[in-house]
Amino acid sequence: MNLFEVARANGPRLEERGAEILSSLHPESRRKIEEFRIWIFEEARVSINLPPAVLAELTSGETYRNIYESAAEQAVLSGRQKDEILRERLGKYYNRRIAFDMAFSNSEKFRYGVLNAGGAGLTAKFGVFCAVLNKDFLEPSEDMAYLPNDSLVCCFDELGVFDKNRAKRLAASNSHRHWLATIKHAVAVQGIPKELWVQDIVKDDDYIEAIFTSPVSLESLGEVRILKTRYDELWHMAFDDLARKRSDAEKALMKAFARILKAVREGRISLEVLP
Amino acid sequence: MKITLLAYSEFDGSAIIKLDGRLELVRPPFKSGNIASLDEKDLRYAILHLGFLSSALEYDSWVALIEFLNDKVREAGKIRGDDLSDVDVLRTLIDVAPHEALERYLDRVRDEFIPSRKLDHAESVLLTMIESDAVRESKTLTQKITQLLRSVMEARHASLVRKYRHEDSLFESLQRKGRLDEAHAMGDRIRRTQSVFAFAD
Repeated sequence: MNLFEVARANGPRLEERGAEILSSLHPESRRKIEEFRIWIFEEARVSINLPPAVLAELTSGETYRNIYESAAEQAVLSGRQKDEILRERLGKYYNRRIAFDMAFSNSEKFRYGVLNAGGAGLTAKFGVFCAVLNKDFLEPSEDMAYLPNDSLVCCFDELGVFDKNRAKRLAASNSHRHWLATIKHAVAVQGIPKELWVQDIVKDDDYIEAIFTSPVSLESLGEVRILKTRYDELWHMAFDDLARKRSDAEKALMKAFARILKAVREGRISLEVLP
Repeated sequence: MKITLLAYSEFDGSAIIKLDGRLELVRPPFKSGNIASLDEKDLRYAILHLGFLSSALEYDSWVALIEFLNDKVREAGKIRGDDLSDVDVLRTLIDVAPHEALERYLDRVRDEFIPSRKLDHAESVLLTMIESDAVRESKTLTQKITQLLRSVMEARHASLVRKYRHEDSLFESLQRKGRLDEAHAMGDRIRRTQSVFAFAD
């Protein structure tokens, strides 16, 4: 089954469902939801969260590797089986990830991101960077699908069994991402001011997942965002006492941070520090 | 105390642990303020989307856990060809450091390291700084570093002079007390037995 074809085939149904919701609303609410739908269509892009070391690698010309590509690389280096490495890495999430991915063709190329219309995505807890992909990255992409939540949550039943029909029903294509967001957020958006929409779209445990296959490199990135609290923390760690004794973990983190700062200084990436 | 390591990042040693039934994120510089509470969803997100590796290892101390995390970062860095030597990390940071941070550090070298005779450390940092292209572009910084390197040399010279004076005074004292031959014999005995405890025989 091709996830992206399924998503494209869902287009008319999503549009119909969205229109149904809109027509059922009071004119004032309808106007607001319609504004939300257009805002998503025009503003929302896909973001991926990157640990400093991964972002630093991208600034050096490497491409982003998904779990399968990382495992394949490790298999070559270690001589172990790729699947064994995947099992070890994913632990208790292995079965769900494989159940979802193996239901679709070409899934070893899947990359997972989040529909993001501003803000730092899901970075607050982990202090990672939120890389927002170029708008151009989305437009020509046929191989792009969206789900109303994490695929390992919304495509599984209460017993934790993968539900293929649910996945087929929920997927939206790139051209219908705004309809998916409208259906999902219509109720919530009515009650919150426009300036809070950004936060409503991406919350810790609730977001619209984007799945795509195009490779991600430095050229794919629009801006990179980080929360000010974390940025300041990294900055102080780096420069308050330049030559202090550091653990290897801290040294690795500091080198990655320095490489990112260098890329910013040289204009290779655009960094936005968010309050 | 039992700390269960649930997931960790080989990139920078960040880790999700379970302690007293709670999930927490620990990360460099591994200080108590760097611990944040997490939940099961965060664990899933970290493993599936941030490259954390699943684990079930248990530790009975923070020291043992942090040692493991550092080992993993070092091993992974070696495979990637990442140099984690102190000098290389310092050089990388100096290249992007703001001038204020470099100036502040030079003030510490002047006010703290040289007076307390941490001369090797001071010299090594200064030499690394002066090798940096970013530093060499600033005349003010270059002058300040050159001046400090001179101060380090002077402090080293003063220290040597003090050492020789001290050795001379020891020699004179032994000679005055007629114990020069005895000291000589003891030196021989230490060399022969390869033990400084020889003088106790």
